[in-house]
Amino acid sequence: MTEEGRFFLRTGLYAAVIGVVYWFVSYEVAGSVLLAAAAFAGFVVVGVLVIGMPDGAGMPARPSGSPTRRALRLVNRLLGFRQLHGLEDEQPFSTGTLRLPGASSWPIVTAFGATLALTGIVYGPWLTIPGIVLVAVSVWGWVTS
Amino acid sequence: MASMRPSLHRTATIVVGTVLLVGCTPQPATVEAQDVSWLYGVFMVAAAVVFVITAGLIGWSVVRYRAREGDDALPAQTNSNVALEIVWWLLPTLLVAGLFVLSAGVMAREDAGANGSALQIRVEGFQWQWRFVYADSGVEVIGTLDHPPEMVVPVGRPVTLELTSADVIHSFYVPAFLVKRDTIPGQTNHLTITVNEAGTYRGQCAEFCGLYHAGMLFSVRAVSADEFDAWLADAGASGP
Amino acid sequence: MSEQALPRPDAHLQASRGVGILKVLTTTDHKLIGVLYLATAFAFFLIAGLLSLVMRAELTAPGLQFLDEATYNQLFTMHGTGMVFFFGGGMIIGLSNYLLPLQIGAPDMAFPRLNALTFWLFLAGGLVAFSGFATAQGAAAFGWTGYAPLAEATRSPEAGANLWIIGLLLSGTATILGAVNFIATIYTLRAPGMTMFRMPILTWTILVTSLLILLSFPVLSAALAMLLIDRTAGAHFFDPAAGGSAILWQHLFWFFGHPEVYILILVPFGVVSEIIPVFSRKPLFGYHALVFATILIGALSFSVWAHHMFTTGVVSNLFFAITSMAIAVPTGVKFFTWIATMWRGKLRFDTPMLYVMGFLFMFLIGGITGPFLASPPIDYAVHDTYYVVAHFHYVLFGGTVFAVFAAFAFWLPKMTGRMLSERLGKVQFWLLLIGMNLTFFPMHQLGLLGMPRRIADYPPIDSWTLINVIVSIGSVGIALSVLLFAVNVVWSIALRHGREAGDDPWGGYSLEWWTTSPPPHHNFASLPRVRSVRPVFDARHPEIDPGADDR
Repeated sequence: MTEEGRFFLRTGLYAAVIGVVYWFVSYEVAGSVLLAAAAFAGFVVVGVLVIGMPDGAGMPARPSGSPTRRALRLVNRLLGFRQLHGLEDEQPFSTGTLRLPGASSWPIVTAFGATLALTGIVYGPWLTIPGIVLVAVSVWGWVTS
Repeated sequence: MASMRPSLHRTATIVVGTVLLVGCTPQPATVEAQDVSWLYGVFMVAAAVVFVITAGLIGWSVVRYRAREGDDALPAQTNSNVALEIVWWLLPTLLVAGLFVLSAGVMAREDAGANGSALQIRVEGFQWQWRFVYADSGVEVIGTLDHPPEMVVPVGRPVTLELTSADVIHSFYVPAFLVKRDTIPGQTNHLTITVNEAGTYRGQCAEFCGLYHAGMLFSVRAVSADEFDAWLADAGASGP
Repeated sequence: MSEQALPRPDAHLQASRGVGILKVLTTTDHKLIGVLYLATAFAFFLIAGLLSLVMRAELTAPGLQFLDEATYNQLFTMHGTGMVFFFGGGMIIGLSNYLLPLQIGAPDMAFPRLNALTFWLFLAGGLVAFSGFATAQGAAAFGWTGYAPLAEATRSPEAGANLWIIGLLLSGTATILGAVNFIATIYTLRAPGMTMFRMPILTWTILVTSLLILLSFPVLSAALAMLLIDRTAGAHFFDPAAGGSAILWQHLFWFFGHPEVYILILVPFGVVSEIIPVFSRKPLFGYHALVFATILIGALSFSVWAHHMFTTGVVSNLFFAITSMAIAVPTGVKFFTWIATMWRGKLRFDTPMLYVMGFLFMFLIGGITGPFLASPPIDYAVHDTYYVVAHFHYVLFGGTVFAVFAAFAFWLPKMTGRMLSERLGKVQFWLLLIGMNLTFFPMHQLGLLGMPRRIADYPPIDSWTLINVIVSIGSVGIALSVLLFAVNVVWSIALRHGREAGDDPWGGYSLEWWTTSPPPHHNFASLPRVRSVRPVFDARHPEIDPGADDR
């Protein structure tokens, strides 16, 4: 588990634990749902990272030691604060060249369209419909450029 | 360039002044408020200790470790001390744990409510005034923006307020009682107070409720038990 | 639209001179976007600050002198909204935007066009929210917290309220997208050798802040959408008379609202943690513990929200008292870490460090009153009074604002190539410190005496009047100080009287001090080896073993 994954795993677990404690202390629905959602969100990211980012530096398989030791090592591997091995080798994703967009007008046009669309909720569909059209056009332009 | 040398004298003045300015709760007028005032005092002592230590350490560093002109050598590049770190995780934890336990105790006593002998008054907040209904006798006191209502209560007897709102969220707050409770539409809150000193105490809505929130005043007048009975009988006969 | 591969080290990379309007409107460069954020946030600081000066003028004496209740209520609502979302949020995002790619040695953010989108949405949100002032019934007037049922259509029919909601939906979306961008950038674009535990501490605070944003802002957006549907489509989410819940809004709002204040303070903690080591000529003490404390604060911030609701009678005061007290511990630990960094160092008190000292003392005071408010019995007494106003202004003004000024003093030379005037900076600092304390310290006593917050007028109680006069005088001091800062920026940078900064005027530690001031397009012509948290320091001091830092 990379440090990135551990970061979100700790977050998700914390929210889950607090959520459970909170539910049984208060039986209050809104807060419990929100904490559960926060935990879920954290775990979703962990899932994405586990699938998309296999162990880069690799923890060498170490089957030796008592069950307790092995359990502790597993916990450390999943949640541990510091990587014990492979610090020197860990490389971020970026290798080689990176393609960066230059100047683009799609962001400001999209923002303008979104503003029109939402403000139309106050002032009428004559503002919302052009806004939605503008957003659709600019998102299309953005994605295909 | 301006130099920064907080002297010991100045630090002492700041600390004492701090405690004086921040430290004074109003004279508590209820039994429950005595507890809260005591708790506040404990917190103030803890706060003063933490402030003096922390600010003192910062001030000391500023004075003692100021770089001298022309001294370009690097100081020792220390960056860890495990024993110290354990201490400064542990001590604050113990401190807040202690403050929490004390708070929990005061809260339990304050929110315990009264056993059956309390005087029941229903309080309804509405934009932008108050309505008090004495449950047993049905006496009703309604305020207007020009004539805020006065809630008369007997000294020494627990009063349980049943609080609700007719429209938006308001809050029933009497500064001298060191307490407030929100009045929320669709639910009833309870607050028990036992006034222990005769007098008139001003109150005010403490949850922003719209245009004339600032004018949503009231008062609580605590009188002797006999005076209270007389007032109640009088009010019941003549109406609000 | 053009695409450019990352330039080779020998490519010619000079910062372009002059900024045309079209370049601004179509930029995807994180540096320009960062500057746009900072400038916009500062503009909102001035606007919201002006609103507060008007409020202070009215509150100097009891009785309504020149405002009516309706106007006053709009002023404090938009002051809070402008400061929290558009000044505070804008500054945090602006600083993060400018500095993050530089600190990790990247040429830009992971999603540059998305970055631009977030700025324009943010600006649009601010303009829409404040456009309420131009409508017939005025701007939103229910406090920046927008409590239902007051915020429902029957009680607050003004169009300004809908515009407020829409403005926050626009800027909230921007913030969420920005957080995605920051996290993606941190996880994918770090320079070779920069493991997570060699990232600068500011980068860590940006990461945790982004996580908080990701988990809390959607809740606000949901609550705002629900309120908008209540107001415009006849729903009853928050209307108890029709089966809704009056208290639900508070849960949703504060589940966002409390992480929000940590969103506003964690990056300032990072700023302070970057400046102290440089001006003490030592490494940051306890880097790992500081990272851990940051993460812990972030996590805990999701479990304290209902300490804003102690007086509602519907939450478990015990649970939230525990968690709220607990969050004081990692915050306090940071203080000791900073002191230990200064200890036995060689301290220089240029303007950035002065502001950091101000931050330390002011945030200490604000942080100390936090546990008071975390104690339910004490909170029953001082909730919704000026005591709370004092507390949050100490942590937000003494904390965030002072750190922002420190950040400007420290990094504006990097951004512009010119130093700010030290003399003006010092005068401005002391004026701000004095003005700020005069304004907010007496508010503690005012709250204890019983003056509630959000009132346009107050009864003629002598002690209240005296304190209000002192507070109003202090606010003038703040205004003058901010004016001085603007003068400093114009004189030193726009009018070019500040001396040239060079690459590294302060002896900095992290990668942004390796490149030119201002940095060229795509930031770096070369990078030093990253073997510790202080790559630039290591490169300049090869005699010192970096391994000692990297535990």
